[in-house]
Amino acid sequence: MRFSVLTFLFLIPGVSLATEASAQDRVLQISRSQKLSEDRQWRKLLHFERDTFFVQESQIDSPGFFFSKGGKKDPAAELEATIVAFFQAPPTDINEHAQCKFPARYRWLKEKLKNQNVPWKDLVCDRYLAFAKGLQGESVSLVFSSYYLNNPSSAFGHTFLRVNKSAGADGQRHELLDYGLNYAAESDTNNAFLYGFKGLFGLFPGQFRSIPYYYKVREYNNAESRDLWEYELDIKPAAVEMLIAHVWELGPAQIDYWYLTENCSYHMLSILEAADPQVDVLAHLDHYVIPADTIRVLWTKTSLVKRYKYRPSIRQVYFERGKLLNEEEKNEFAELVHQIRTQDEIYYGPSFQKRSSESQARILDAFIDFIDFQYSKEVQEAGREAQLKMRVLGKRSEISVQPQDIRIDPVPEERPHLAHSSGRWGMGYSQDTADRSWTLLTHRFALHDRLDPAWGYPTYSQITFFDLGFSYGDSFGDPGEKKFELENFAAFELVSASPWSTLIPDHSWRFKLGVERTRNENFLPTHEGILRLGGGWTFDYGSFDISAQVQGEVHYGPTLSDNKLWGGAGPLVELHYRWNSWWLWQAGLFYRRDSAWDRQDYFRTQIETQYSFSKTWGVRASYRNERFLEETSLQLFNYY
Amino acid sequence: MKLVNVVLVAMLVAGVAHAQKKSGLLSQVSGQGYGSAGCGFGSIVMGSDGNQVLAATTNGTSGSQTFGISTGTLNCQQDGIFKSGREVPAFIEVNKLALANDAARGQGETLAGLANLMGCKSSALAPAMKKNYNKIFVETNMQPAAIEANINAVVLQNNVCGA
Repeated sequence: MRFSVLTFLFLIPGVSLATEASAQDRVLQISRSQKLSEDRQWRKLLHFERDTFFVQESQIDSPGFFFSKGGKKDPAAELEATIVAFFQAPPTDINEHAQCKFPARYRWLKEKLKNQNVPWKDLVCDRYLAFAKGLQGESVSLVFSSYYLNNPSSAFGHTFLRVNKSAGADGQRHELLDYGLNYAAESDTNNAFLYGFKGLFGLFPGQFRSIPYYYKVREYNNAESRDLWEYELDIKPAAVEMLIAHVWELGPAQIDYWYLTENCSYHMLSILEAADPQVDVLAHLDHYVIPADTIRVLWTKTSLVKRYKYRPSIRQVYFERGKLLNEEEKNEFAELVHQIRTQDEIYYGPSFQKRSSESQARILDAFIDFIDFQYSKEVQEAGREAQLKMRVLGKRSEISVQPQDIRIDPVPEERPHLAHSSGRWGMGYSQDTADRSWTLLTHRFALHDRLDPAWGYPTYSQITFFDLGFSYGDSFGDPGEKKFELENFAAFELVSASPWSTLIPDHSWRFKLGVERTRNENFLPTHEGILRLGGGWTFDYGSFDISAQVQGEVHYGPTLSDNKLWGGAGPLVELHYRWNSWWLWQAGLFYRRDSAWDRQDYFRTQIETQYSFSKTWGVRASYRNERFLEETSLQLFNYY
Repeated sequence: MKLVNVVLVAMLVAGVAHAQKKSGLLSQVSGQGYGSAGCGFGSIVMGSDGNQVLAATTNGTSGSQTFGISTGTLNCQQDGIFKSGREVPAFIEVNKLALANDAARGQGETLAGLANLMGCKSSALAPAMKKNYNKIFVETNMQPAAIEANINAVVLQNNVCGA
């Protein structure tokens, strides 16, 4: 086919050029008269959007993406230049022709002019065709990899698309063999500070890649123990083809990666919008795009999600296998766990040998998943545990019992698309024992704390990003005066209260980086930069859990006595109680020995509760008693 | 004050991003010289470090139609898609732990995926792999090519998968 097209072009170049020139002119003429460059899909294909600085232009930053010099800013000029390029004679490598490099634009144009009898000269683009055949999808899923609490890197989650192949020869779908389409920053530095800085300010190029889905499953489900949620979208097969064609166009293109705005989620949606005119999601999103938010918006504000599927992490699978064991089997299991921790060989004692094959299979299956979860790194690196595991697998292979199917259907409260919105405004009132009172104003950019409605986020964690709190009211220095003050700023605050158990001895920890307004005996309240770090254990008792931790902190305050920089450390105990998903309590005791205060140590008791009327509104009350301060407050929160 | 905020945010994001980079499967896989075996898949896919990846990025921007993973010269892939016949070694390389689990248990999604790639029924492949588990997975630190060779031997001996 390719050969015949080439032959045709080489044999009668004069004729073909003549007809092409006239066809080109006709297409140009129609595109002008029909104002095709104003078509929504054309603009979407060029990624013509309002960017971070509210400028209307294409978000693609590589010049190779445009045929016209001014193409980044001028969709009409770009359309004309593209049409001219489509009618050019093919170069030696046919894959370098405009039709082959921009198959989605070509499809779109042909579709727009399908009733105009344009004599199109379709080229056979072998590399693009191989790509399209490899992905070969019927439908598309948006995949969300959720947070895993002990891993702050998963704080916001990640989204990517998966093109779903049709069933194989055996009549079954093999999701692992699908391809995922991923957009991520291409880092060129190992310096952590530079990495964050460049990510935040759009200094990394972002790139689209196609990656086998099994690679993502191994990375998230197994290596990082994060759950995957797969949302199958209502995208017709023709639009899936368009999507693949468009992703091909973006393959060599570059888009600057912005950590908070033009990120993975944003561009997954932007390519969906380019592929399918029915999709309209970006308009529903805020200026900042958080992956978790996009899932919720898709679910609540569009009818795009056909169904969803939960793919549990190795951690969840292990928990589930553990639940299948009865008391005796649990003892056998514990014996195996003890051995892998302390011995270089696994012995199966007489009591194990006497058990039925079914029972042995159940115990070994749980044990295998336990090793994968607990020693994921060691097993990857073929360490001691990997050798023991291999022998356990050998033992398992001798037992001819099928493993039990593990199906996990998380309760609604755990489904990320049902989460509350991550932004939060608050207004309230506070008063202290000296009858001073203040109006409170707070705003949190993201994401979730442990008193927010317990929907869609992990129960045991708090991830606060850019939480600002202001007060307006009585001044400490001048009783008659009213003042507006910054009370609290948490650039980043994390609480990870993973419960400790003998089988999963997780630690719990907390971290805060920010500014607080602190009071003291002799000086006026002052602002101090604070870095706080705590670690310890959390014990889970069903609806409540208790954390016992040791906390250390560093304060920096330019106006506080001679010690601008000072530190303190001490224990804390915190109780978290969940009456239900709408009503939560938290109480804590904190003690701290300070390097700057030799007269009185810091001691604080605090109790807080929030009742949420809905996922949009909640009211929070708190009482705290600390050095030089006793205060109550009441706040109304709105999640948006 | 504004500058301080910006710096604070940048630092924390840095920490997050850095942690993310470090904990990926890639670093665990690629740190072990897996690149020398099979298709070198694990060491190439979506890495944020390593010259191969930067090379791919450079090619991608220089105008040639390369896509993502591919440099067009890799053993295994072109334009982000496996060349025909190259899927099996890459699949084994990335999935070898899950595959060993499935082989020992005699069923599972990873085993079914492999069977599909090899063009055979998982109902035939699974019992053969379970029965011969110790012949396939003989060492802990096996190269994917060795696993593949052992699977092929088992397939031949047992006359499954139309072999």
